[in-house]
Amino acid sequence: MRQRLRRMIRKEFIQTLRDPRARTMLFLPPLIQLLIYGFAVNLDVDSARIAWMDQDRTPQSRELLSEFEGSGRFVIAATPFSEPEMQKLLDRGKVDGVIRVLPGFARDVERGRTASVQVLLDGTNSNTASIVSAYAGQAIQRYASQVMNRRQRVKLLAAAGPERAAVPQVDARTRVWFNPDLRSRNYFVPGVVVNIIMLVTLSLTAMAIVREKEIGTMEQLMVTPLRPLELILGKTLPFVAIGFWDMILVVTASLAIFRVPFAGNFGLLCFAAFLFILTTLGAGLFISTISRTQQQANMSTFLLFQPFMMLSGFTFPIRNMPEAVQWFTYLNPMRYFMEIVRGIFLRGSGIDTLWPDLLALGGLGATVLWMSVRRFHKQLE
Amino acid sequence: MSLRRTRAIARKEFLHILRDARSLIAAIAQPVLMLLLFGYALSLDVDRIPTVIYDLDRTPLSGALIKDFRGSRYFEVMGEVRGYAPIERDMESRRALLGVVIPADYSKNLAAGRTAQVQLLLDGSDSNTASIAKGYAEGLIQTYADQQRRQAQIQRTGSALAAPVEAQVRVWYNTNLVSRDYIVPGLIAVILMIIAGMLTSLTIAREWENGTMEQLLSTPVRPMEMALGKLSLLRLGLGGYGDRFDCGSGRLSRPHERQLAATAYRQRGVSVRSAGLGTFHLRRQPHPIGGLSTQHPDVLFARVFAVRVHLFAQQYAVRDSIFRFIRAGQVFHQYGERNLPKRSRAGVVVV
Repeated sequence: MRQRLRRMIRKEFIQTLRDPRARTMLFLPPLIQLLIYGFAVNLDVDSARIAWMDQDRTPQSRELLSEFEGSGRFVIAATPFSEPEMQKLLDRGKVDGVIRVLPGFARDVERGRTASVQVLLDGTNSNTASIVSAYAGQAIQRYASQVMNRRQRVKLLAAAGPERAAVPQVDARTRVWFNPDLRSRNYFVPGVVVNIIMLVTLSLTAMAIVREKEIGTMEQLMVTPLRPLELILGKTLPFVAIGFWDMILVVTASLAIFRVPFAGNFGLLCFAAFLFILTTLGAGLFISTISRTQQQANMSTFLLFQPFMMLSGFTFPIRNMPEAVQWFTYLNPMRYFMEIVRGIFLRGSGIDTLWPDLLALGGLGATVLWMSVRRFHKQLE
Repeated sequence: MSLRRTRAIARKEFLHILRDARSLIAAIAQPVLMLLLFGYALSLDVDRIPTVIYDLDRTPLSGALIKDFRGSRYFEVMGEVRGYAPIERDMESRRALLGVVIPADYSKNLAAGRTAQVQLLLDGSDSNTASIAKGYAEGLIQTYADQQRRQAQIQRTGSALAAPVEAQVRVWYNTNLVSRDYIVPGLIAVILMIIAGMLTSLTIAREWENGTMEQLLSTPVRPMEMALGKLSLLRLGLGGYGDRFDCGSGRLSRPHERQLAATAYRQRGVSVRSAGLGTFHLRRQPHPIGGLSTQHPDVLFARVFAVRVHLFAQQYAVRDSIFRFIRAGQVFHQYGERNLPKRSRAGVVVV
């Protein structure tokens, strides 16, 4: 039995590596996804481009400007002088926001009235707009605190004497755990591991089996002394190896090139990957039983993969989804593996926190695999 | 160049599509699925952030701060804990995203007029949510601090100094900051690429596979006529696009009828181009998988975000032109036919 299995696995490897399409599948998806999610996709707002429209032009407004420039979060991209110019900048999307200091700003500040600063945001990308709004608000707040402190000291010294010149302030000290620089790359790149394993194992398994059916060699295989179990194992085990190979590739790239922190246990990651691969192999087997041509198999893979990837918490948090959709994601193995991978990479989680996800993954994997094997078995007869 | 032959090819293509139900369903179901998902399920907006509070002070002053957190729609206080260890546990098991620690000398510092500190602990794994949550939490504490300051001033000097500077924030183009309004228009560009490109490349590859391509080549049909006949498939894409845009705009908060016609006109150019792209790819590689690899799922996904990638640049031209139209419509909507007021003291604080 073992010898037949070994020969079957060897044949499978040779066949897969010989097919140029399958060969590119080994390298191209990891490369593309790493490039895109490691370098290109970036939800961080590192430096927001703003336009500074100063209609006051006094030392006070310049102080406010230095507050903005000094925060390191803004890049003054333009200084429009008129409203049509400002509108054009926003319409064309050249800036993320316009800070407008109205005439009379310094006068209001000196007189003790409330001076307004207009912050006009381009809300097209609501994500960026929230963040830029927070930063701008903070910069204005810092300036206001400075003015306030100066004013208060003067007023209180006059009214109540130096001992009572202090005014209470509340200061928020923020500490970010697990991803201190808040880089979105650290959030995406571990998710690429999940994506790649799912995509590669799913499509390669489905395509390999369907290819045999298409060419007609499946019947030839069935007249050999090969048992159905050995056939199934021989068809799926090579792709376990390929899945692991791709995982190691992506993990190495993320550690070496993207410098994503790795706080947890690599062995646990491998174990979880094994459970996940069981699920995807089962899904691949199932797809192969419902497809007659490679084209159909590929399309079914694509149809299955896309919604599962989007509902796995890869880019859009599951918490933001409506209740019904959240219940549906409990059936999605990618969701559990995504949690596990992020936990191991960023949080250094161990079995004590990850055991529910591992259990769910194992349960799902066993169920899907068992159902698919039964269906495949029936088709073989 | 005979119109009759072109029409014949177009009719043949149409029949092919009708007969291969699975490809048709895939081609239509998938964009509809994406639209449904992006319209209803997927969003980057942040609210109801799970928070735990560790209050070492336990005075009415710290209670006031906690009440502010409870009352805010952005935070959902899961409970109060004793100690840092429960906070760590909750963050690791993802039960909480934010931990607020109020030190023991909080009220003493406030009463004495010193700076009181509040510690915010954030789970940074989801960097996007964490950044936004950080902004909200710090904003909330700032508002609370201002209130405290005002009360202290009234106590001591009998009058409160007004805040010297205040930010009036006005959000243009997407006033409610709904991330869906940002993502769905971009989806239109993606869907067009899928439909036009996928259908075209699939049909050509199938022809090569079945051997009917050689038969076609031996007929009097010219290559130009064949290309045009296949491009007629984009009518399917456009027709689908038309009602998809309507569905999409129904989910947008502000539909702009004026711009729809203009955008649809522009979109035709993209359909033709991506159908052409599909055709071009398949000239070299007569294999169905090769055609599909141009629509690789991960590459599609990236286009929905603002990506500085120069591949598929035409998608961005399209998306930007859609945005331009939508922005134009919204500004028009806000200000009407009159000019902008000279001193637009936009009095509405949105955020």
